[in-house]
Amino acid sequence: MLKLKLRTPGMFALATLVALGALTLPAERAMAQSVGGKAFGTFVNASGVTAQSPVAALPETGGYALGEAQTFGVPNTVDAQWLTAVTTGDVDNRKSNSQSTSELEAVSVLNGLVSADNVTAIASSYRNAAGAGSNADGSGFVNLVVNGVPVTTDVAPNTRVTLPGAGYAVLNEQTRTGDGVTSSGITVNMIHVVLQQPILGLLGQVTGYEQVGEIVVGSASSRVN
Amino acid sequence: MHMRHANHFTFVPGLVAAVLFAASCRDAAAPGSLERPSFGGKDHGGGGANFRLTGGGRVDKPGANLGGAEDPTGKNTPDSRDFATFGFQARPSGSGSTSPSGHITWVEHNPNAFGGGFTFHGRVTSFDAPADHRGEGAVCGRFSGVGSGRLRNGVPFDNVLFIVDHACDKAEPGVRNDHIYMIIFALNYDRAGILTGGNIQWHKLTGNGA
Repeated sequence: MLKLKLRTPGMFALATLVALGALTLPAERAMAQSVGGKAFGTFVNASGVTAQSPVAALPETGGYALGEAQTFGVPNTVDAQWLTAVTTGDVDNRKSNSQSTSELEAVSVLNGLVSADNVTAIASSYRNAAGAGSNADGSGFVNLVVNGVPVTTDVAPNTRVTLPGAGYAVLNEQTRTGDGVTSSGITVNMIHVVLQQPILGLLGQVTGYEQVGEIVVGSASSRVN
Repeated sequence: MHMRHANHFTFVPGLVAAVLFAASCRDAAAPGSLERPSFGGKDHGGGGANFRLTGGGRVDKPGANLGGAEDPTGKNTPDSRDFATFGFQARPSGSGSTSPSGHITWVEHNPNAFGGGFTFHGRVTSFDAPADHRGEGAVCGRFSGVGSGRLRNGVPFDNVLFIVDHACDKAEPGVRNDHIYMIIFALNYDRAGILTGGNIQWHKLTGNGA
């Protein structure tokens, strides 16, 4: 058995202080230590083509990143102009923040099955002494048209629409992560198309659908932890 | 001043930029006035900055959050392109210093703005801490520099002065709390507003200004 010999009261006091210090984490070290952010205009994986517009990616220690293109297009799949993706964020011992934006203009998906004059995705996350949170406020469309029908109101998060002959799309798709206390994150995809083809049975009847590709337009994500 | 009708132009900063503004040789960009918007409240002093700022998000048409909001956050209706989006990082080089570093991207979507709207990229060359003109105890930074961009009519521009008169961190989340005011004199452009998306955050400086 190991025996400690503390020869003087001063040594005992010092040992006590060292022990207490080892057991107690300074409050600052318990705060957020990293951030994340990413934004891009479009991603396509369809008909053997994989393509993505320039990506803005935030370092874990924070900073500023930009990805942009004047035009982006994949024939019969997606067309867009003025793609701008920006992500910024910072970390210190007391608080952290990350915010990403992605915007495009003159957007057309699947030869106009989904179109909009402007698509804007915004993902914002923060952490401070009161907790952590994320939101997609400011995300939206200008003059959105789906299946030839104008959409005149803001699109609620995770709105699913059928795209006849192609599959379906999730509009204003939002996915959240984190516990809301020590971490928080959100990913926003303003147009997420899932391309499908039917699965046929022995008699040629449709028994289901399988995914054969996807298209993402207007993506922004942010996180703090 | 060096303004050509060719497909590219360069602006000479300083006095020339002021002359360009006075000439008003272009349509005024929304929202119009280049005077500091009146928010009321009182100044709480200002001076050299011992903090850095990052931010990103959206501001909508003037007054969207001042009694004319179409929804709780002040965001425009879905048929309107009268808004701007931005992202920036700005800091002094050391505690209390006004030397710069940082970048800003600002995108104006209003088709009635100069050139039908534009994308602007600026590099920060000065940074300080103005008073919180709203008297709400927000931490505000002011930074400026030069930048370049492209108008929506396709014409590029460069060597253009910009000033973020204030970017203020009042609270989290930034929507309905934080505010920003951007001026690009050579484009006769300014936009101010409370955030309708995103957040602005101040952070303490370390000893080496990192």
